[in-house]
Amino acid sequence: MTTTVDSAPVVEPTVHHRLRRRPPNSVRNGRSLLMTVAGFGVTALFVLFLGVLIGIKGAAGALPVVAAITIPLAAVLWGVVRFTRTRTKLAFALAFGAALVLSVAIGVLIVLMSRLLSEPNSIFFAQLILSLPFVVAVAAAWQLARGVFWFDGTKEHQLRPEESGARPISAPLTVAATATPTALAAAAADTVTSPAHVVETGDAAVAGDVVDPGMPLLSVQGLKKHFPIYGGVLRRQIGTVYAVDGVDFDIYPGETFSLVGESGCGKTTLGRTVIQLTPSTDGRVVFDGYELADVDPDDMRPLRRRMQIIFQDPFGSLNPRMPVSDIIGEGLLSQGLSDRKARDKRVEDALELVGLRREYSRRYPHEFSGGQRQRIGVARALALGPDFIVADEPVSALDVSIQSQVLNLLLDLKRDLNLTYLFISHNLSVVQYFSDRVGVMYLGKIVEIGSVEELYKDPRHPYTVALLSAIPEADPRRRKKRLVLKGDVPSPAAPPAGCRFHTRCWLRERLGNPENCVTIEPPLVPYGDDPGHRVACHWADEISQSTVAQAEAETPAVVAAVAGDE
Amino acid sequence: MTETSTVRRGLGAPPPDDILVDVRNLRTSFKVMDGIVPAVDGISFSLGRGQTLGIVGESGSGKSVTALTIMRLLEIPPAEIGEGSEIWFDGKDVLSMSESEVRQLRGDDMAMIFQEPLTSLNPVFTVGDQIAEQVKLHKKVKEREARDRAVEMLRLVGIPSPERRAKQYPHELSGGMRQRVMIGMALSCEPKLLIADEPTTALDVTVQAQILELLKAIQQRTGAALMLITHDLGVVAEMVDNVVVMYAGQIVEQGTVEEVLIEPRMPYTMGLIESIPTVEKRGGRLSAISGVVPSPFHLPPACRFEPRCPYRWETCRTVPPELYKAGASGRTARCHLHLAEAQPRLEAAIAQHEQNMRTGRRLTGAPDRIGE
Repeated sequence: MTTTVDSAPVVEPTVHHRLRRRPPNSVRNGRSLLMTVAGFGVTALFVLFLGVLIGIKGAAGALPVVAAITIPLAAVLWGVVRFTRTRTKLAFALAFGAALVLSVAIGVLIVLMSRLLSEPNSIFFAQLILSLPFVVAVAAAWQLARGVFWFDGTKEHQLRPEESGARPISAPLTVAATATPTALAAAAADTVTSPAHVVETGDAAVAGDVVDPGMPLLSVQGLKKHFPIYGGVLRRQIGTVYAVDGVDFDIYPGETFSLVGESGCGKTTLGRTVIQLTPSTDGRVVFDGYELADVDPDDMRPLRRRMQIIFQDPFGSLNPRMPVSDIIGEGLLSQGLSDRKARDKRVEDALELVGLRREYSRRYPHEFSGGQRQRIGVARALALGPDFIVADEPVSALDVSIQSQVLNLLLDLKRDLNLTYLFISHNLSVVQYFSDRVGVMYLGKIVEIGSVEELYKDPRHPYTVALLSAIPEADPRRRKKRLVLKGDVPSPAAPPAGCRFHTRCWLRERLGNPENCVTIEPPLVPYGDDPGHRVACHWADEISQSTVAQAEAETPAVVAAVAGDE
Repeated sequence: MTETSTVRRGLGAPPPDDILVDVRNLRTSFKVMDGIVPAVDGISFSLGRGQTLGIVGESGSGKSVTALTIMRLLEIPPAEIGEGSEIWFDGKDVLSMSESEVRQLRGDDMAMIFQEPLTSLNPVFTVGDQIAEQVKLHKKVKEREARDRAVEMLRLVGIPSPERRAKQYPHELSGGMRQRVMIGMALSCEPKLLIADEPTTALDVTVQAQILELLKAIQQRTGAALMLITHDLGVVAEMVDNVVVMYAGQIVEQGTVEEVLIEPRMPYTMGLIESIPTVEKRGGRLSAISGVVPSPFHLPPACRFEPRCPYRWETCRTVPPELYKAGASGRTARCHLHLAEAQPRLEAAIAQHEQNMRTGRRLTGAPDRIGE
């Protein structure tokens, strides 16, 4: 709920900071710069030292000293950083070996030089100049290896499940384990006050009368995400894309909240910003009491386990060079489950949960059909045992018959694992079937929000009306005249002043272009008796059966003449 | 492809004059490394002048290949058109035409709108040039007139300030605009047949509504026949008169749009319609078609839908079904349910379908197991 609206029941989520706070960005940038400089410096000094040592003592003489330093050092590094992947080990060995080889080369050159040049001063400077490129080369090789190989040195991070509320990671991921009678009872008690639960029981009238909606699982307040546009010779910032521009909504445990809108309206960006895959520009996201923008990145990890995402494109979102076991297991690995056997068990549990066979974990993505790939994407999201899943157009890329299989799967999982979904889609029929509450987005803002029953029965924003009117129904008896919007969505880099929809609004046209649509941006305010139904339109009262019918009747003439307008 | 225009032997009689397109027993296959892919396997349908036909099917069912074969846009080899295939267009046999004759026809009398407007427009020419090129090729007009025609087409498809837009390149236009340009280009020579291959799949629902309204308005105005290829049953219900449902390269059901969508008589069509989410099905499971479309290399021996069919029995595994008559004239379905002895089964299937349409399936049991 917005904090700006007084009449709506405002539920201010209690924010607790048991986790370490994230330091300010300036500190974090400084820290990372310091670490880089120190890394380069230490590497360079070490190599130079070895080189000089070899130069002075000769290769044979330096050997005991070099061995005495490098072998323990390698052993310590090997132990401290618990590598689990062969390629990480390879990267490490490669960088270490390169450093040793270069050190020997430096030493040999120094010996050669001291023979060729006699004057001490020139020897010293020649040494200095010659060794510098080597130092840089070694340091660069090290950094390159770090970048090229996935080299994050997966340490066993001390997780605090009691703090983050995440499920223990080594527990088997089965329906039975999570749906124990006590857990189910607790879950039921948890959701019994939420409107989602009431809606699920099919009693729409009750949904409107809920006074205390309970504690939201996710609360988004004034969230903004702006992307800079760089241009010109100096790559200065010449503009801003207002992808998400001030969005408020709550999601309650066990419900499915959907975001609909045309492409380019910011649905996907919002979904990604909510789970902090991209940092937000402004505003708050409170997930189960944690303000996500404030949590230290290291402490985000146990929280991330509870928030997962299913991506739209089942072909682009699976790495073709990784077997399914690695694709699904990567999240488990980065959460600290380094035991291969335990991880594979979890992966197979997840596969079973989405209706795939356990043996499929050895296969590669190209061996699967689109629907199966999307199931793998779902399994990846489930492997960590999340509470909250952002489903970003999970069925748009699938054929109709496969689409219903995946929708059924998502519904089953929601029921069995007590999941909460943020469902992003442009398909209004799917949204109507699938979700409890809907938010309609237009150009980075929510223009209307409400329960599915309310919104589809009594839409109060002209954009919602147009979207609903545009759905083609698979019933030739219901052929109707459609209310066709003119033109395309304006660029989010230059949103129209006042109401963002006024450039395409059919209602404004009917009302004779009232002034306030262009000058005043309408706030998202409750409409009617249902406090959950809010709409951002100055003229929401003007929408009725007859105005919509008239607008629909006029549409074809408009199309035949000039359908588009900028 | 030879450059001769000899009329092939064994050709049937040309269709009556009011039929614009008549496809008879069309078989198109592709020779690939792993074998032969029968993409289209013996389909027959006809389309009257000014009529609208919808071809429905999932990806891989052969609907696009059908369109490309009619346009003669397939390269031969690897494509191969089977013996006994006939495509009649406007009283002429398309398959026995020479390449130059087809080129005369293509773009002039029959035109096609593709799914991806960005990839089917040339990025290095302005959209005005691209439309004018086609006009110049087919109508003997001067450069100036062709250009005027291009601007006029852009205006017809509802692009604002067409003079300015004609000088722009495809990347400067939005997706809906590009699709309008494609439509304008297809209509520039006033074709008798317009083939639209998934014209709105890549577009938003509001823009889709714009394009569909536009297609309707233009069809009314020019009297062109429209062949609409899509997987969206909503679009089909909105736009077309007759429907052909394709599955694994075969026609499995055909009839008028009311007949096919309201009273489907083939389990695949029933499944497709049931799997569309609607209000009535809220709170229940969608009745999904289990499994996936069979690989073209391992087609089931008899009925191609048999492995996924909820109503199958022994006959389905042994005897390939034909297109049986199912109700009124021109209404056919490729399903053994229409055999006389299967009458009780057909009634049961219809009853089940109607129940599924009303309520969806209740949430029960474990998730569907696939791949087994």
